[in-house]
Amino acid sequence: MRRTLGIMIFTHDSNKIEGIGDYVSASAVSFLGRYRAVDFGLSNMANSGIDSIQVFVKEKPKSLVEHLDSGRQYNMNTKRGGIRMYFAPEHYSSMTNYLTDVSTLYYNKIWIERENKDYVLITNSNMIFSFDFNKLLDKHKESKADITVMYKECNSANKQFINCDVVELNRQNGVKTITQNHGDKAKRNIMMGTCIMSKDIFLGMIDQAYHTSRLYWLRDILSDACEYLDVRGYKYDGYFASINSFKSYYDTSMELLDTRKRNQLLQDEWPVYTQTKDSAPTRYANGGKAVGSLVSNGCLIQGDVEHSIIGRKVNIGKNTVIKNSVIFPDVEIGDNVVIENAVVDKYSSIHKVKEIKGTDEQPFYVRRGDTI
Amino acid sequence: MKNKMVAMILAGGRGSRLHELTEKVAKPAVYYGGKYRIIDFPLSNCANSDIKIVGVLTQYESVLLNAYASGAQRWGLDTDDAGVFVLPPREKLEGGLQVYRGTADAIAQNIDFLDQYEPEYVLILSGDHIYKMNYDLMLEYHQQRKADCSIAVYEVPIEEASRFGIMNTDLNGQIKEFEEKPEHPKSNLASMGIYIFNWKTLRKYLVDDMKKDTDHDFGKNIIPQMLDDGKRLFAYIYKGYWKDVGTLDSLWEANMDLIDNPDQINLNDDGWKIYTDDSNTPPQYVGDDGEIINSYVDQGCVIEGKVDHCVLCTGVKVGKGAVVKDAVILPHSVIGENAVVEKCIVGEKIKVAKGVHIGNSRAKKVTLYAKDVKGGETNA
Repeated sequence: MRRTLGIMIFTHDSNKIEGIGDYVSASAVSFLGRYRAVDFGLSNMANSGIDSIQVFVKEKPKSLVEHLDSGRQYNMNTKRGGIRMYFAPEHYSSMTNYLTDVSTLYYNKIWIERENKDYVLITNSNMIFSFDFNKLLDKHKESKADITVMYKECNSANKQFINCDVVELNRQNGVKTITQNHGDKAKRNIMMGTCIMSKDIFLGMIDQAYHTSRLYWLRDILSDACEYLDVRGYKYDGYFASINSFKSYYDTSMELLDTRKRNQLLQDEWPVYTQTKDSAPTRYANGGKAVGSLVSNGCLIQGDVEHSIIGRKVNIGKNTVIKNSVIFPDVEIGDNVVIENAVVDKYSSIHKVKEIKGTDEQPFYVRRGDTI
Repeated sequence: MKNKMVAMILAGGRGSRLHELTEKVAKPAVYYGGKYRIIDFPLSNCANSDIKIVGVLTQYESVLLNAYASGAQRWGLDTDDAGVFVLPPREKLEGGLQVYRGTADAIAQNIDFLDQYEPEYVLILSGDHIYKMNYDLMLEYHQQRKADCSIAVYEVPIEEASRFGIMNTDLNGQIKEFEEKPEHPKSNLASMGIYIFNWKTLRKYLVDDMKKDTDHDFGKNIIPQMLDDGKRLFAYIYKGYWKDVGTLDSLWEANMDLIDNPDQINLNDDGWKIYTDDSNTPPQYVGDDGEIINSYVDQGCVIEGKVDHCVLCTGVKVGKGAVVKDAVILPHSVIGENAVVEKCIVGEKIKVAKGVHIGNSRAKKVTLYAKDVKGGETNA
C-alpha cells in the first residue's frame, strides 16, 4: 500500500444529512459517541498501510480542520507521509452547483500529480465500514482491471441505501452501469464510494470529466468510464452503512447498538482512530444508570439511559430518561426530562422542555447549540 | 537556553507496599482513576503550570515508565522549547555507572542536565501522588518570601501527623524545624515532597552532599542542612486534594474518592485537565442485561453484568450475571459470567473465571488479585 495515495472525497449533494448537515460538513458529523464519520475511512487507510492521504473539503471546514489536526491520531504525522487537506475552488463558492468533487480535484490536480505514487485509492467520508484495502489492491492487480470499485450486495435496497449509487454487473463482475438507488428494487449492489485505479488513469479521468461537463461528479465520470475502460466490482461482505440522510444516520446509530453488528465494525485488531479530548472516565451517580447503550467518556449520568448513544461530555440530570436516542457531545440535559427517539445535536441544553418524543420513523431533531 | 523553572520528577521508587502491582512497573506507572497512570498527575500539573522542561528520574523497573514518559505529546510538552526527558542512571566518564543512592543523589547526578537550561529555580516533585496543583502559584509565593527553598505542605489530622515529615513554622510560614515522623508532633503541616529551590543554592548543597556519607535524601539531609545553615525555608500550604497512594488500601480509597467525593477530585475539569494516553477504544457498552450504578467507568469497557461502586479501567469486560461491587479493576481484565467480585483491586489483563467469588465487601483490608483466578477457586 506504500505505492498508493489515499484520497478522501466528500459526498454528493443528494446525500446531505438534513439538520445536522447545516452546521458541519457531512464528513465531520459526530458518530457513535466519540467518532466523526471521516474517522472510519481514514482509519481504514491508515491501518492498510497508506502513508499519504489527501482529504478534499467542500465547505464548512472548521470542524474537519480541527478534527484532523496534524493527523497524529491516525499515525499519519511522520516524515514519510501525512494527511493534507485541499479545499474547493474559492471562485465557485457562490455557485454551489459547480462545487463538485471533480471541480475540487481538478483545481488541486497539481498536488495529486506531485505525489510519487502508482495507485490512488478513493474513498468517501460517509461510508462506514472496516476493511483492509490491501485485499482490494491485490484483486485489482490480479484482474488487471483499469478500475476496481467496491460494492455490497443488499436485499433491502427498497428501504435502505436510498440515493446511494448502485452498480449493475455482468457475469465477469464487470460493471455495466452505475445508477442511483431510488428504492424501487430490493436487490441491489450498493456502491461503497470506494475504488482503486492507477494514478494516471485517475488524473486522465479528472481531466476528461472537467472537459465533458463542469457539473460532473466522480460517479458520473465513473459511469461514463464503464463504456471505454475495464471497470470491475469487488464484492465486500462485512458490515457496511452509508450515512447519507438524517434517517440513515439515526438508523445506523441504533443498528450499531447490536453487539454482533458493532463487533463487525469495531474490531480490536483494526482500531478506529479519532481525536482524543482527554476527558475523564464517565461517572454514574445519584441512581443514574445505563442499559443497552454506548456511553462515551467525560459524562455524568444521573438519570436512566436506555438503548441510546451518548457522546463525550454529556451531563444527564436526575430522574431524566433517555431512550432510543443519539445525544451528541457537550450536551446538557437537566432533571426530570424525557427524551425518546431523538437526535440531540452538539452544545444544546435541555432544561425547560420536559418531554421530547420522536418516532422510530421520524426521530426528533434538536438543533446544534439550542437551549430549550 | 534560559528557563525560569525546570521540574524534576522523582520516579525511581518501587512502591513495594503495592505488592505485585509494582512487580514489573515502577509505582508512578501504576494505573489510577480508570485511564490514568499516577505520573500523569505531576506531568499534567507541569504542563498546566506552563513548565516547559521536565526531567523524569527513573530507576526501578523503568522500561515501561521510560517509554511512557518520553511520549511528551501526551501532555502537550512536545514543542521545540519543551520536553520530557527521561533520566535513568547512566555511565559517566568519571565514576562509571552508579545507581541513584537517594532522592538528592538522583538530582545531583543530573546537575549537567539542569545546567544546560540555566534555570533560576528547580521544582522537585514526586511521581507517586494524586493531586492537582498550580506550581506557578507556589513559585510566586517562593519569590515573594525571597526564600531559598519552599516546601509544599498539607494539613493532616494531628493524630496522623507522626506518619509524616512535619514542618514546624513561625507565624510567617518560615520553617524553623523539620521532624521526620515525630513521636510527638508539634504541628500538622506534612511535607508533600514538593520543593522549589533556587538552583544556585541547591547546586552547592548537592555537590557537598555527594561527597559526604549520608542517605543523599532531601528530607533527611538537604533540608536539615539548609536549616542548620540558617537558610530561608518556607512552608507553602496546599489546600486541595492530595493523596499518596503508597498502599493497596490508599490506592483503592483514592479511586473510590472519584465516586464518593467527586467535589474533592474532579478529573473532568476543562481548566485543569489531566492528560494521558488515548486508548483508541470505542465508547463503553452496557448490555441489555448490564447495569452500572454509582461508578467510574472508562471507554472500551463492555458491561453485561452488574457494576456497583467500582472504578473500571479501559477495556474491562464484565460477563453476564456477574456482580462487581466496591472494586477497582485495572485495564483489559475480564470478569467471567456469574462471578462475584467484592472490595478488591484486580490487576491488569487478569481473567477471573466464570462463577467464582473473590473478595469480601465486609473486609477491612483491600485484597489484590494480580494473577488469573481459575474456576473452582473461591476466596470470599
